[in-house]
Amino acid sequence: MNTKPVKMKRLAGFLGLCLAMTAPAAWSAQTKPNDLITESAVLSGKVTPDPAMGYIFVRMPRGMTITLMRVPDAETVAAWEQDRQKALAKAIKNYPGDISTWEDDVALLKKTRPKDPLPPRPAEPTLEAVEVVPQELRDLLNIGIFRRYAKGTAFDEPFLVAVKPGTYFYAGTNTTCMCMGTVAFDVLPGKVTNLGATLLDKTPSPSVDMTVPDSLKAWPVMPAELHAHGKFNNYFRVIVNRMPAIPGVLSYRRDTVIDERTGQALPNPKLVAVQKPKL
Amino acid sequence: MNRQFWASAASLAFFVAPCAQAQEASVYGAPDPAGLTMPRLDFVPTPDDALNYDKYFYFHREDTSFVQAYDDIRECDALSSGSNIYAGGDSATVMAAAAPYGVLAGGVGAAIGAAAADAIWGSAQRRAQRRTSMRNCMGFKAYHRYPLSVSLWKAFNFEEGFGRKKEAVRLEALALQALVASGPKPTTEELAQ
Repeated sequence: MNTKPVKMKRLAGFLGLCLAMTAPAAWSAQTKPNDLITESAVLSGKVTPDPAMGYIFVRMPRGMTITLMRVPDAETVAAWEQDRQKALAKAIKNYPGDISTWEDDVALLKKTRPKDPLPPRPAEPTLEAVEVVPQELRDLLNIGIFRRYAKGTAFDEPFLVAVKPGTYFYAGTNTTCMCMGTVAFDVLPGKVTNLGATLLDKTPSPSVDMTVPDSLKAWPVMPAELHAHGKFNNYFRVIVNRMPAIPGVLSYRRDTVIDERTGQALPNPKLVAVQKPKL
Repeated sequence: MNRQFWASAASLAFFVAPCAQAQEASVYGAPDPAGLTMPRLDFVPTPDDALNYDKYFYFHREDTSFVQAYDDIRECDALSSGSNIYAGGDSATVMAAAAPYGVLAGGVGAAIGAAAADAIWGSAQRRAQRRTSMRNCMGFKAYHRYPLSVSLWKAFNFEEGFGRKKEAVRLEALALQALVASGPKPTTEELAQ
């Protein structure tokens, strides 16, 4: 008899939860890193430039996504190191249990399948062997498809995203990794770094559309200053590629990435597939 | 005395130069090529072979040492395999690991893309992707591509889709590929990059 109000309450709670989950980030006055901002939120004044936050404006064809990664700074490295220490402490704590399980497995196998090879003894935990989120994956951005800044055309949709200030590099699209050479750019606090359509332009040229919507005219906008960025790991196991050479920015000597601003070769890091080897 | 000194220095230089070349440092720990047997590369192409040169081929670059070729192939293999630290190339685990760091708008897209690709196209797509990645990577390093028959190709190559070959099998195949890549220049027609 009195179940109706309870049901209504539950329904209201459920709807509230749904609303909270789907509410645009722009509803909050403060933007967080990775929040995609819409033109309506800017026009209504719900979102204003935050001096502690950086912003990236980019144009790309509909249906496309790009991935940007942040060059690890001291803070990122410290967080990564802290995670490694935590993971090592956990692994050391669990090690006696791992050994005990292994001994049980070995004893069982010897009894039931004496001809089968025995599993190797678990290696003692080391800092080098613990698995934590890599530094370059800690502040990554995936922009495209969802929550565009404003309505565009099939070949040109604008996006505005709030980010942690720092240096970002173009890691590729959802199918391609620019792991053999790409470009990086700085994002300054309180400013919109305008990439325009530069990243997806096959032959970068001055004719690339760098205009920003009128609604952003009051925001401090600066064009992205691209510079060469060296090789990096293919984190998402997509097709290996590299950015085309850009005069004055990026070129190659075979697979060595050259910073065209200085004419110097960028160091070649040792790239690894850290997939667990099958022995 | 002086003449004797310079004569000794010259002979020393004569012997040391090739030795230094032989001891070229390998980033990826190249094995001693003396322990490897050059795979057979000569075959009479059938019409069927010609249809499969996008799958069955080998790389070669002139004036390249074994160590250099080995390092190049290992680097391209690492990139093509993907450096998913969560083992097994499982993109969903990267997604799960990345989520607590507030990158839901970030890595998830790429991870979902990779996971969806696995679910939709499966292992064959992964094998094709590996071939494309190896061709791109070795192409950037200025290696050229030459044709092979299926049977000869299988003797020193492997394909990987979802799974991963045993490490010893992989490393031996990669070493043999490096031996071929740094060996005598092929006389057969070069394939398009």
